[in-house]
Amino acid sequence: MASLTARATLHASARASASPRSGGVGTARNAGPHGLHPGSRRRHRHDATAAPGASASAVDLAAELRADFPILEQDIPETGKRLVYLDSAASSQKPSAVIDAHRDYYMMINANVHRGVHYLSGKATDAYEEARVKVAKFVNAKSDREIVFTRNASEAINLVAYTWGMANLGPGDEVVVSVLEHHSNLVPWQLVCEKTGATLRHVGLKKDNSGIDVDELSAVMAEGRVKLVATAHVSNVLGCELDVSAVATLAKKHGAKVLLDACQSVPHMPVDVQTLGVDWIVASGHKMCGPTGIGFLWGTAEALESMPPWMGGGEMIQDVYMDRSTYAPPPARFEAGTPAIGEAIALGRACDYLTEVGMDRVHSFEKEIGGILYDKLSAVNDVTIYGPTPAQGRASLAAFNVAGLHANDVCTLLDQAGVATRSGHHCTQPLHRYLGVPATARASLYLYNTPGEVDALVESLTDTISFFREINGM
Amino acid sequence: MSSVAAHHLSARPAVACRATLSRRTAGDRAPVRTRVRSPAVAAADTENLPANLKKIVSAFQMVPDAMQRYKQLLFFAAKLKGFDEADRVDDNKVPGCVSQVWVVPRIEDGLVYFTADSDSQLTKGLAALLVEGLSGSTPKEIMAVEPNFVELLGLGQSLTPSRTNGFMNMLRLMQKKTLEAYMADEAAAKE
Repeated sequence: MASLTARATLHASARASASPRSGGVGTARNAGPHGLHPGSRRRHRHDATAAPGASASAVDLAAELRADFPILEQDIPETGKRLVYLDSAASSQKPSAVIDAHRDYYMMINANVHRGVHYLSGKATDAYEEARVKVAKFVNAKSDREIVFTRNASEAINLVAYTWGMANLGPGDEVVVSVLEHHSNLVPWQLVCEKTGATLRHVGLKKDNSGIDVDELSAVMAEGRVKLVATAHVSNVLGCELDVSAVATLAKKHGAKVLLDACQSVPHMPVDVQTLGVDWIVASGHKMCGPTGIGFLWGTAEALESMPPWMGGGEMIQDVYMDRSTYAPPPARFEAGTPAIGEAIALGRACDYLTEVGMDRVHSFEKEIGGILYDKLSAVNDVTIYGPTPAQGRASLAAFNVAGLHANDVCTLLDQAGVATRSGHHCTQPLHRYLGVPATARASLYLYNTPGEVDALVESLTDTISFFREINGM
Repeated sequence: MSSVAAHHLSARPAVACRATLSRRTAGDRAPVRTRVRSPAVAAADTENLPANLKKIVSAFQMVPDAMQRYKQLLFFAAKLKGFDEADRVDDNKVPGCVSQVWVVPRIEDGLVYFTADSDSQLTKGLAALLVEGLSGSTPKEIMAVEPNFVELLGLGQSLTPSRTNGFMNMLRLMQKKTLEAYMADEAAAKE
C-alpha cells in the first residue's frame, strides 16, 4: 500500500474517532486497515484465563493492543518500509485514549487550575487533581498528597537534590550512586555535592555486569557517612533490576535515604511504593504511554514535609508579604506556576489505560518478548548484548554491539529497513566507559511490540552486518 | 547562515527536499509524493559548492537505490587514508558527535587540503566526501559551503542539517579550522 494513502486513512480515522469520549484498551477506534479488533476490550481485560505466564496470552497482548496505537500503522516515506518502533525506553508511543484525553482537555475544559471560582476552572482543577489520584493509585501511594507533578523525571530528581539535598547535605556526608546511572540521576548530585561540600561516591557492577554490586554498596555504607543512595530501579542500558529490598534494608540500617529512578520500571511492571521501602521514586510520563512535559515525584509524606520549597511562584505559597512568605504543604509547595494541566490529565488517562491492561500482564508479556529479543539477538554472529541473561532477569530491552561495527552505523542502516533503534551512550557515558565501548545500539520494547517486530529487527540486523562485511571484505 | 536558519524554522522545506529526492527512488509511490513539493525546495542547491564537491553530489544523485548510495559512501570511507596519528587530539575532534571524528586542514599555496578520520564507517564516509570535495579549494570557497547540500546525497533524514548532528559539526569545524589556518598563514606571510 502506498504510504501516503495509509497515512491519509490514519489521519481521517483519527479525526473521526476523536469526538466520542469512550474508548479504552483494545477498542480499535482507529479502524484503519489493520485496526479492527471487535470485542477485544471485553474479551481480554481482566480475563482470568490470561494469567501471567500463560505464554499464548502473553504473546497475544501486542496484537490485541496494537490498534490502540495509531502511530505504529505507518510506512516510512523515504523507504516505503513499515515502521518498526523499538525505542520505547527513550519514549513510548501513546494510545488513542491518551491522545483523546489531552485533546478533550483543550476542547472542553481548558482553564487555569486552583483558586478560580468559575465553571471551567473548577472542571480543570478537578481533572488535574483526579489525575494525581490516578498516578497515586498506579504506584499504590498512601495518599495523592505524596505525588508531585514535575515536568519530567529529571526535574523530579533535581527537586529532591535542591530541596532535601541542600538542606541535609554538608561536608563529611556522602551520596552514593552507581556507575550505571542515567546522567539525570548523576549530574544533579554532582552539582549539589559541589554546592554543599558533600562527597559523591559510586559503586560498580558485579563481575558479569548483571547489575550493581550490592556488596560494594554495603561496604561503602558500612563506613557510616552515606546519607543518600540514588540509583536506578531498572537500568536503561543493561536492563537489570535493582534488588530494592537489599538496598532499602542497608539504607535503613545506616540511617540513609533512598531515591529510586523508576523511569524504566514504572511503565513496565507493577510498582508498589508501600512495599519498596524507599523514600522517593521518580518517573517520566512519556515513557509510560503519557505525554511529554509531565513526570512525577513520589515521596513519603514525611520526606516531602521535611523538604523546603525550591522554585517560588504561584500556588506554592500560603501567604505572601512584601518581605517573606509562608508556604503551602506538599504537593503544592513544589508546584510553582501553572502546571502542565492537560499533560497531567493525559498521564492520568495513561495510568488508567495501563491499569485496564493490567500491569501484571504487561510485565509477564515483556518478560516473554524480552526473552525472545535476547535469544534471537544473541544468536546473531558477532553480537554482544550487555547486562544480565533473561534467566538472571532483565527488562525487555537489549543494548548491544556488533564486533567491528560502530553502533551508529548499525542503527543508521536498521533505520533504512524501517527499524527504529537508538545508538549512542543513552545518557550513560560513565557506564559506557565502564563497559569499554564508545557506544551501544539499543532495541527497547513495550506492550505493543510483536514477536514479528523482533524478527524484523533480527533480519535487518543480519542484512546490515552482511552489507558491511561485504564492503569491508573487498 | 541565513538559509540554514530559515530551514530550521520551517518543517516544510525539509519535507519538500526529501520528496524531491525520493522522487527518483521511491518507485510507484512517486506520483503521489511529488504533490507535497513546494517552491521552498531551493533550500538545498549545489550552486555555491566547490567543483569537486558538486561532482560528488551529482555522483550520488545518479545512484537510484539508497543502499547503493550507502555503499558508495563506504567506498569513500575506504579510500580515506593517511591520517596522522599525532593529529588524533581533542583539538581536532568534532564536538557533539556520537562517533569520534577528527579533521585537520593544511594550507599550501593558498589552497586548503584536509585529512580526517572517524571510528564510524558512515561518518568516515561523510568525512571523506568533505575531504575530497573541499581539498584544493580556497579558504573563501570553503567558508561559503552550507551544510544543507547533504540532503541531496539521499542518505536519509538522520543527516538533515535540522538535526544538529555530527555532519553539521564536522563541516563547521572544518570551516573554523580553515579560518584559523588561513589567519595563521596570513600572519606568517606578513612576517
